[in-house]
Amino acid sequence: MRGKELKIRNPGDAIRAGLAYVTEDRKGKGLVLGMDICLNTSLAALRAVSRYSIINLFEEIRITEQYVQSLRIKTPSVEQKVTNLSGGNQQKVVLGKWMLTQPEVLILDEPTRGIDVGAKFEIYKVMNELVAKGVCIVMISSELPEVLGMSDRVIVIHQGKLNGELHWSEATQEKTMTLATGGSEK
Amino acid sequence: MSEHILEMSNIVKEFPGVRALDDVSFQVKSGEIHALVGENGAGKSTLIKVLSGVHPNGSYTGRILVDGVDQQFQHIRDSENVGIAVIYQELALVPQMTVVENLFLGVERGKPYAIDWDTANSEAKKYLEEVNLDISPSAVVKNLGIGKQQLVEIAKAIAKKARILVLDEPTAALNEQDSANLLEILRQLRDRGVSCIYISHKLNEVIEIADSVTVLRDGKTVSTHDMHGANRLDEPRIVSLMVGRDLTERFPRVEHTPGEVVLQVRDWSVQDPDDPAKNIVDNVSFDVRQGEILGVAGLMGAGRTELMMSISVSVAQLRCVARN
Repeated sequence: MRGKELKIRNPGDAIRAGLAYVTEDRKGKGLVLGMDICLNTSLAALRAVSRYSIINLFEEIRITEQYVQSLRIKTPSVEQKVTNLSGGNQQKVVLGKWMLTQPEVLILDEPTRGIDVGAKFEIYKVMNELVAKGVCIVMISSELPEVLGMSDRVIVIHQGKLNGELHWSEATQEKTMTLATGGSEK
Repeated sequence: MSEHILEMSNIVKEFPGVRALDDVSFQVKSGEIHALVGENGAGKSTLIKVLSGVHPNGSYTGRILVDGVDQQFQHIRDSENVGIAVIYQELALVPQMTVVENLFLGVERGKPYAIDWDTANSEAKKYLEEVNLDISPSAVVKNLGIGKQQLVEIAKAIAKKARILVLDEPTAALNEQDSANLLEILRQLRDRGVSCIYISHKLNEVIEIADSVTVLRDGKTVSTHDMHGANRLDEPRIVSLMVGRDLTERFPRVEHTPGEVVLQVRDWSVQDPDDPAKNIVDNVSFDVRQGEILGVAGLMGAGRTELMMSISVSVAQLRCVARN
């Protein structure tokens, strides 16, 4: 990372190093469904809302409200339990949770799986905004149009091996799928 | 009657918010190997779940005919009764039990109050022979290799008198020799009149073994092709049928100018927790630059999630180094 060798032993090390991983399993691993938006948002970055190891509840609410606004999360209040939100809004909460850790590299695993077209488009916009601020985004996706439509570069994995890299201008659905099924570029 | 052992017509299956199957029609002739191909999410698994009664009659619209007779499956057992057997990628054997116990699980041989082990064992031997499997019926399943376990599943399907055998990605976890063996057995079964629906991402196998190929895309049937006629498909044709859609969804593409390299990953490997001899991620190297979006494409199970998860949430034992 920026020339330094990383020794990551646990997720805490990764967060401190500036990595964030947004899981593909948002209900199982990304969120605590029974807790409200506020508690979920601060969960990976409690330091950002604490002082002397004491959580400042006002600060927590203030920051969550910022994210609810900037990510356009549709909810009556930040105290809504995330289980009551739609898939797209849940995904935005997970995204907000990891943005709060101020990552340098944000890894998104299937960021738009199972959410509607409108929410997808908003998540794409957020991705572009983050990139404009200098964040790097790595996006895993099984939806070819999404990979090809959003990425600057595409790497293709086949059976655990890197099977090719394409610049977006040369990446077509056919080429990518050929690489993904184990074929070669030619 | 009809030459088709199985006809599914105009199947529509909706989940909240998505139409997983949109007017899919699919016919299988008796005694053929019919490959079903399509991208992730094209609807292959949903179609199989409709066929096997996992999604019961009433939760979808459309008709299923076996031997020309209308079928309304409420349970998996209903579909098994007409001879449909599905072998999923994650095998459904009980690892701690023996081969013979697994073969007749739920259909134990004997009287209501006692299992007749002699009959069970001798029948088991016969079924194992049919799949060229030379193991003792009293072997414990978890001690068998994955290739052999797969064959036990097939023997189990034969024991249930399956006439339509559905295999979902059967060779995904197998090495080349086991795969070749499996394909050979499928051919033998076909020659005895068993029809087989074969789902696979390995297009070379599809071309090698299939008598017909049906391509699904976005929940719709694209086309069915006879693999023996003049119009047979080659790999590039299948790929283009699988993805051949226009980029209708709009993406807010913004030109980024990637800056310096932020994260470099070199020679990254992750061991398969289930099989220490295998790497689920094997020697992957890549860079991520400031202010860019790097897409990671691949099929399900290619190792993408494992790669990224191991980097950001890595386990102490992983001897992985990310260095400049």
